[in-house]
Amino acid sequence: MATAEIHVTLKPALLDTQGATVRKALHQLGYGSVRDVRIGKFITLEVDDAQAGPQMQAMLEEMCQKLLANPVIEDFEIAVDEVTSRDISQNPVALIPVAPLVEGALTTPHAVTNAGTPPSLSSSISGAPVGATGAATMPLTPLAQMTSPPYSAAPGASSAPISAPRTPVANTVAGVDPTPASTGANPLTEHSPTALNTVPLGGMTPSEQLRVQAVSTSEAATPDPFSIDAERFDAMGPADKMALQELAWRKYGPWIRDELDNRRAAWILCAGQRVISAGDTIDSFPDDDARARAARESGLVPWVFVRPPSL
Amino acid sequence: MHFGIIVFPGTNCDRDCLHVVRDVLGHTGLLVWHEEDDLSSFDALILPGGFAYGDYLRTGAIARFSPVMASVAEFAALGKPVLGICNGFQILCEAGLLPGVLRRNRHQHFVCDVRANVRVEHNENHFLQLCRNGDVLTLPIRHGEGSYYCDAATLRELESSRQVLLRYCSPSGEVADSFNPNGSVNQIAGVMNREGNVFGLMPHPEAASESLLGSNDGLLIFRSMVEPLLLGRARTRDSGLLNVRDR
Repeated sequence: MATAEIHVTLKPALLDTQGATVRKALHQLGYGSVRDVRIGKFITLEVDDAQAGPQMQAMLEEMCQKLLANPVIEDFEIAVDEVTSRDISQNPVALIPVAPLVEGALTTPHAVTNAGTPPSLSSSISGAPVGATGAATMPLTPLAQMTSPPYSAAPGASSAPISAPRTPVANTVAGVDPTPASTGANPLTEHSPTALNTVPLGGMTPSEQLRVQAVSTSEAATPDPFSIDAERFDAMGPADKMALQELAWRKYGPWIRDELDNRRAAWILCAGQRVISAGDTIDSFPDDDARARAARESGLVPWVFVRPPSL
Repeated sequence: MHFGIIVFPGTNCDRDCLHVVRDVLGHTGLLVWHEEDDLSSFDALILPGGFAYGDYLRTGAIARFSPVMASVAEFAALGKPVLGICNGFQILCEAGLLPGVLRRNRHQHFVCDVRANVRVEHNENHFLQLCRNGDVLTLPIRHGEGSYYCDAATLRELESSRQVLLRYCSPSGEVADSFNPNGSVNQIAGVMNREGNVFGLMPHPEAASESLLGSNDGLLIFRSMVEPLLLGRARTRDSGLLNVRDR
């Protein structure tokens, strides 16, 4: 028996009025330090994995695409806990993650109505995601593994892998200490960038060793949108670029919104977490030259974030 | 015209629709349980309002997989008219027969307004052909999740293809955010598919089809559906077909 845990979340570019209402309520209760609240759904499924077979992951994704999430406005993440499932040592390959980034992002039932222009190959346009359903599939790692907050202190340090459960944005603002003690999770399967280096692999069961390897592999594979260098980005396929664009909104959404609000801008052009230019109307959207210049001068990907349509 | 009115577990506006079709319009109709799969005897379908499957998970999310929906999709693919009202609109969006999605009302309140106003944006179709562009229809609204949303590209397409048929407005026909009861993008209250045969709207025309109820503007929509499509012919108020409002 396996437990699949599914997080369904509102796409980052959408206004979450329910979250805004809860934020105001928290402020009224005196928790003024909460800057943003976004509310999603958490669904658990008990699946007979022996019956589901090797197609279980694909089956779970299909369930999410069709029913559990609405790809027009929601993203989903799937994690499967196989602690109680069949002996992994007999079939170790089951835990190695496949394609850490987006699979099937362009093949949802709603894709036909979301005809959009694909991002240009040399730079990325972000904002209200066009045509990107951003279905992020996690490799098979148990939810017990916590991650460090997405806003890593050390520049260039490997960021929170897309494979790990998404921490609520509020946590990142409060600067949650990512040490194992604070998460209360199993220290053997606990992972943070530092914990990985010190956990004695020899002391773990084969399945636990494989899980740790799985996470570190996916962590190395998932770049941070603000620190990935332009060359590496250009070499990515369109689906991966779109996924990275989604990730930028997910990780840095509050910062992006703040910058847009503070500058009363319709768009901002950023390289890394730094605004290079902003414009108050969509008519002054930066052209290819402006973006190429930003890429040349910073060596990073020139992201343009557009204010999501207001309600 | 023979109307099929689909009933899901939780649908509650089906009988009002049947009453309008039979007793007001003088045509025929049948309530169709969601497990039926043969819709060949019908000329038009209505997906009425209500709370199909309790709106569980997301409104319309489960209803779209009811056995009847495969036949509804086939029916629509043949170009026959399908009208989705409120919950019906939500189900059509979840089923992909209409683009976009209906989200929770912006102010998190269930809105109930017996005299909401919507402006007719495009009348060259089988649902609003008896109206003039710019007409203000007074129709009741009752919904908690009526905020229409689609992404920027879809919105551009809808607007340029004249698929946005109704927008919330003031009694005098002014369209603005302050007259939008739920925060839908571009004040959208109703959209049609590209092919022009599937129409979804949040207001309830079946509750405004008799002047006894305060407004019979809703009858314009049902009447439009049963009249032959008038595209290309001159349509004037004197043609006799437009004498449906007895105000």
